[in-house]
Amino acid sequence: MDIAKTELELVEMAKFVKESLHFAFSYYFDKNLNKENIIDDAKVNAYERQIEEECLLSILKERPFATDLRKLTGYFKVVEDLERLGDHAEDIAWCTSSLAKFKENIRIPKLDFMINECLKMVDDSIDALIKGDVALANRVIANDDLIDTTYLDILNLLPELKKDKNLDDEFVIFYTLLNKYVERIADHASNVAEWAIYIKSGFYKDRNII
Amino acid sequence: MLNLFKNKKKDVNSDVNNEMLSNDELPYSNEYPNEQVMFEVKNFNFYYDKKSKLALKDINLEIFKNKVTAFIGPSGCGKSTLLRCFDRMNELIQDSSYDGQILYKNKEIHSFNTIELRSKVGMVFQQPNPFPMSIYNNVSYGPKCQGLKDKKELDKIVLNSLKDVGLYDEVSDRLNISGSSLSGGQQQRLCIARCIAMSPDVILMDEPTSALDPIATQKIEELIKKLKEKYTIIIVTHNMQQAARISDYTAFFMLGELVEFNKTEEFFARPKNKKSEDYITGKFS
Repeated sequence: MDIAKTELELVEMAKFVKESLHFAFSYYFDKNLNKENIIDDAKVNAYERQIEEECLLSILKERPFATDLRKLTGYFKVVEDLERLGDHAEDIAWCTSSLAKFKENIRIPKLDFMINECLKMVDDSIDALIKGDVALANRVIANDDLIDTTYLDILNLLPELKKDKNLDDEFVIFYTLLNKYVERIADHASNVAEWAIYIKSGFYKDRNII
Repeated sequence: MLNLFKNKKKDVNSDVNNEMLSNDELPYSNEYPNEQVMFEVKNFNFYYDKKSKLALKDINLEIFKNKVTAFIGPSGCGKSTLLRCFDRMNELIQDSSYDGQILYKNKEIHSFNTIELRSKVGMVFQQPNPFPMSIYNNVSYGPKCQGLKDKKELDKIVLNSLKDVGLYDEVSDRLNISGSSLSGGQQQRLCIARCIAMSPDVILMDEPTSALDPIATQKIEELIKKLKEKYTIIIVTHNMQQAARISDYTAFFMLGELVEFNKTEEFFARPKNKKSEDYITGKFS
């Protein structure tokens, strides 16, 4: 069974997505980066299709059990979240470019904090996936509540900021979107961590699937 | 019916109780408290060639009522040997011997005579082996041997047995033709009908589908799932997907030892033993 090959491709995909997100947020923090070099969404999509196909073929041909079955079904599911993370890297880059067109230039410390927490969640979830580290995966999942709270705080803060600094409506909308994308990235990182636990143990969200 | 034995836990260390229990009275397993124990294998060893070859080593195992238990493992691991111990067919092999116990309904199997035991513990073999006689006579053979002569009663047994195995509609107009003239899959279902005509408690199946095509295999598998409502089934199979599909419990054997006994879903998803994991994921065969 060629699970080892699929596993290598999954690791490559996960690392590529992680790098894309780091580039995207570097672009947000330092707008001088060339965003064209950041995201290759087609490559992420190709990884997803390739891994899905290989998982299905292995299940069809080999009728796997135990660890092999958990890996193949887990890989089949986790690529969806990795692909969405890749999409959001592109979204962050697009939002950053859009914000750069405005004369306004603000920093929201809470958003910067959330982005750093979120990037750590992405890094840790991918590490947990690659190493099969259940404890690390659980820490990622536990951190998602902090992101959700921060997201709501920022959402409440934006109207005040708009009023205080007389910000352009569209500018605020892009920040709202950016805030939402960061929250979604953390959600997908949590999902990756949940699949990492499933692949290792057969438990998904505390329910024993296989 | 009030079951006075419900939740009565079995003392595994107790001496053999020579009283045979009815199916309702069977004791409950300690490890699986919802299951009633039909067979209990205790510290069982089996030898071939005047004890020069140890085929089964210290087997401890329970077989549960109205459940399908699959025996799997590499060739020569002892699974068929153990299967044949349940109806004492292994004793036909010259220079074989055993020690330890196998209890059937809480009674040592050697306290039964073999005819009595085999009328309650039927066997279906790898190759369909209908007797060289008509379909009707194949099915009625056992009850006739037991002394049943009432034609109406025999007709009823044949009808019900053939219906139970899903063969009646296929052969109802030709019950007098030879059993050997049926297809391989039909012959195997005829053999199962012959077995259940004796109203057994247990059906032992030794790779019952390995000689059959996929469609006949599927029919037998569906039949096994249906038959467990009435009978306790033990099946030896080399086909792990089959074990996963149709069995409730799986026993994995290697080199004469029982490596793992577990609920089938758990065995194939999260085996407890590294050897089981290696075997079912094809890391050795």
